[in-house]
Amino acid sequence: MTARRIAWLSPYGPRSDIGAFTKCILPHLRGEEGEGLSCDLFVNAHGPTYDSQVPTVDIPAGGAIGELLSQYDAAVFNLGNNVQNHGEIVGALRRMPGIAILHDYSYHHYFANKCFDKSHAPAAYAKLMWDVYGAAGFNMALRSGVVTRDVTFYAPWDGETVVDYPLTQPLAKLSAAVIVHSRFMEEKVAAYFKGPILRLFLPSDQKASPTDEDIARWRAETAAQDRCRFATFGHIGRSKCLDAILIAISQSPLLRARAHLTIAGHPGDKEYVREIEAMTARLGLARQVTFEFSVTTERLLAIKREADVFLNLRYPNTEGASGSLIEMMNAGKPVIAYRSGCYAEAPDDAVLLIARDGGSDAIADAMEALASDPERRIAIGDAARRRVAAQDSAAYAREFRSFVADIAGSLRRRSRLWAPVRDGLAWRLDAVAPEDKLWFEDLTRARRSLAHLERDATALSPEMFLRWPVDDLVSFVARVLLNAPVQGGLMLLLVDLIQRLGRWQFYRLISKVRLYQSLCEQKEFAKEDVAIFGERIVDVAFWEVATRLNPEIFARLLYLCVLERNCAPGEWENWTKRIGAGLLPSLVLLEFLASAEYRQNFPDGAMNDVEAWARRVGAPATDRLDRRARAAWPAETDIHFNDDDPVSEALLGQLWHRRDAQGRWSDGRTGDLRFLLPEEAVNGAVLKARLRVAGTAITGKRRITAMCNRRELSVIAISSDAPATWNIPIPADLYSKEGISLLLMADQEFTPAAHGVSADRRSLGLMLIEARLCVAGGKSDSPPKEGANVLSIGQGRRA
Amino acid sequence: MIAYADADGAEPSPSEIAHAIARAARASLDAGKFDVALKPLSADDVKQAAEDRPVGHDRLAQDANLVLLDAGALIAYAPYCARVVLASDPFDLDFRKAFGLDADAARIRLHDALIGAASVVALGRPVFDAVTPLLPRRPEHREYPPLALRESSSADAPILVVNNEEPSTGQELTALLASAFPAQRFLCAGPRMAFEHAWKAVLQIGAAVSSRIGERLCDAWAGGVPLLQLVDPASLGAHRRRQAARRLEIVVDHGKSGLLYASLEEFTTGLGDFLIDPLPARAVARAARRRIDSAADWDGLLKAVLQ
Repeated sequence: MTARRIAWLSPYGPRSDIGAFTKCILPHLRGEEGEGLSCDLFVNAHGPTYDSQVPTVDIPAGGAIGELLSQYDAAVFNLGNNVQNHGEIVGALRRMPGIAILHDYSYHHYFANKCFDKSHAPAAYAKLMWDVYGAAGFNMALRSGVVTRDVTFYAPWDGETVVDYPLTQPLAKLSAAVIVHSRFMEEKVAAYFKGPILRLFLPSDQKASPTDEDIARWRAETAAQDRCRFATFGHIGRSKCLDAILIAISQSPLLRARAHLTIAGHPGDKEYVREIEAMTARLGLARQVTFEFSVTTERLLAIKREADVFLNLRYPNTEGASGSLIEMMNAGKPVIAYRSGCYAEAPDDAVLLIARDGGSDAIADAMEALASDPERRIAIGDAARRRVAAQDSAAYAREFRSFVADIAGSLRRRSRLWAPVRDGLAWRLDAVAPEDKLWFEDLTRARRSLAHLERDATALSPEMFLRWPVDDLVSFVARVLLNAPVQGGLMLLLVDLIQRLGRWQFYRLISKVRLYQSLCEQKEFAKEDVAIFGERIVDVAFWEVATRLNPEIFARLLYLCVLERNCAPGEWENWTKRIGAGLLPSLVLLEFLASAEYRQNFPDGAMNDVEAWARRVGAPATDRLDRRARAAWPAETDIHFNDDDPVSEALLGQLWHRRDAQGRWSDGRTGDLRFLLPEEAVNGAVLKARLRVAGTAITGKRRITAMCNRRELSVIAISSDAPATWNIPIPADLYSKEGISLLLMADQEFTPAAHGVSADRRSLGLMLIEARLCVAGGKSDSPPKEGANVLSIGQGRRA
Repeated sequence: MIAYADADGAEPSPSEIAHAIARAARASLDAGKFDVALKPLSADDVKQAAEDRPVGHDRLAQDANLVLLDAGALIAYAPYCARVVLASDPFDLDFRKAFGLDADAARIRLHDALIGAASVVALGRPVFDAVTPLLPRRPEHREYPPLALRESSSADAPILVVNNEEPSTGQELTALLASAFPAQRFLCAGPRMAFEHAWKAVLQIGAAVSSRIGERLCDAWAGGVPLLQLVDPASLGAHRRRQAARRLEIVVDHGKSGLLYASLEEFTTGLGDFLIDPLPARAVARAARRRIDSAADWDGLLKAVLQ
């Protein structure tokens, strides 16, 4: 009989426990003459590798060996959570369904690495969580903060939630058959996997263990001694619950007096290691606790020999089976573990299982019980060793061989469905056997999900928009895709847009907003981008969403999508500041549309609908501003803007810096005045303003335009920094019940610090020094005088 | 191999474009380098393929140069990670009517095909604008090479009116011209219209922003058809920034690539002059034709698509 040929894919070096597992199993796969497996080893190379007794080759990048693997009777994929050790193996599994040995319970780290470290794709992660766990998984990802750009509260792959969201499914569903190492895992996988599952065990002879003589010697010693040596080993991380153990020892007089704890292992989580070292000192446990980092195999064996009791607590528990538990049991010593996950399956007589919700007290009780009862230590250790003795690598290989033989038929059927498939070797859909139909649907979904993580990192697929429930879609769009402030009714707006536009048009709209958002997130627009994407956007719905974006993005967007140009460095910051200070984005949009630049370049009225919308939306806010500023400009009275008097304050709008000794600088290019005309101004008036600009020696001549209701009232050119007088006509027909909103718009602003003129970092447009409203027929020819008195607030002409 | 499936509404149809590419490949400066085979797909083919080839299981074509042209081929060959050429917005289609497919399922499959594609070439600005926001990688923007209109000096040949302004403006203007020149036949541009006749002249109303084949300036230039254009200089400002580089493609250079008029009065007078003495405008048209290098344009496109 010809031996079955199998391809065994695994890490194969000291950096992986699964590498050690493979090293232990491989020699036994061949079995006895004629009935065993002929094995080729495909290594996920990462660091040094062990010597191999079988033909060995590294897996090529991306696992591109699907077709080759299909030539074997079985391909076996050893899957763990670590990307470096298993990335290529998963790559190969994506190409060909084979037998997956699921060593871990959680594969969340694998996907986190793919989504966050490799492709910076929080949106793709959010989509994956929804695909696998529906709304619950998606909302967990939202709550954690990792998929939004707000505060990240916790990483789901490191937190307690990983127990509920292990992300094993997408990998398991790529497989034709699955092997697990615990009943716990078997039950979890059986809930969704539609194929054969074999429950095996981790072989007890994988790691060196004390000999029978060592154990006999320990039994004699432990029964005689007063002190009790506790030990824990393995990768040191938060999930080992070492802090709880330290608290337990510190709280127990018995343990303080008679216990000693050795913490051995690789200090992978440095922050946690520092934390427990500090805790040890703080609790006064320096004598009771010893740390031994990165011990050698020999030293680890010595620790196993010396220890009286092992502690192996784990929370959250992300393992499919515990290699360290088997190792400890095989040392013939009692182990204290939480009754959870795969640990809960340990026989009660062979492991001392405690409830995690018992806290440190439960740990202390268990430690005290074993510390004070040598006989019990010996009895439990003896039962543990007996329990695992039979579960060695030879037994593992035997059961594995039998499984491969049993499922040969379905394995052959399923492993033909490799991808990518060449037309010359193509399988057809009718090659899928009826009994594999449901399994094939899962395989299709899993392959597509994984492909999307790479091809659609920014989650641009219409699938979410067309298939998700509205609530989830709206959260996804607002918090993940747009990452916009959700206050102010963004969610309601999105729901409204879905209803108004339909899901497909809503998708196109949001995709467009995202495109522009991504352009505006770059430090500066590339010339090519401005040429391609600098265009006026006349779709009102676009602006409805855009005005909800972060102010910085929105401000930059205005240059691209209203003025069709790049913005100069610092140009948009003033708008961001003003929006931050409470100016409505729709009013900023209006200001862009009313700007001289826009009106000169784009006289075609293409954005009239947008302007009408912005005016409608901004009206309540304008009303609010007007109410604040509803003061009549006193006729024939000089108003000085270097005073903090209520009259000048009432006339100034929002776009000004605090007063200077000489007057008020506009904050940016534009300054605003809001006022009512006095009763006398029945035929209009002239505002005689004295003003100045700064930096003309550097920037050249400055031009200032006075605008009201999008009407250009007057223009002045100023060629020096000296004060100038400007007569601005205010025709009577401008008057409305809202009063006058006069914008003084400079064509440039000037920041003295940017030019090394002074330390002043403010953005300065124009300085209003003083002004006088001359009414038609009044004493209009007299220039503004200094020191004149003011008044008559609120006595304006009513419309 | 270029795969395509005709669907209602697309103009020019995928089959016309596929054949044009194949012809151009044969006539190309690099003739012999490209051996283009065509694979027409029926609506049933598309529907059947969508059922038989679920997305997720990538496929590799025996011909490494599989080119998918427009929506039908993309749906059929979605798992192939092929080269894609889009001559129209693939999502803007009645999928039920064209292929008997559910619209949402077809759109999701189309998107899968596009994100998996080896490359995407968008022919024309509207297509580029339509698909770019939906794709993680920016498609390559190419213009469809000029397709020559036919010129006729016959007295009863019609005049093509291409309106780039509001529809009402075009209608009013055409009516006005018809009354001013009752002996002439003015035909407003519409689907398939441009290639159905030989034209005495083409009148462009406004900047020629339409990218519909047959309605572009370059199509008239390629055919040596006299071009008269009416553009309000003020409205040209709106194109100033974004389309500065394109100005030569959307506005004629007066006396060199056409005749440009700034007011309706001038335009009407200019048309009258042309009808009395077409020689000056024809001389300009001949000069414009010499500036068109269709072969080079086709070579550029072929390289983008096939190489």
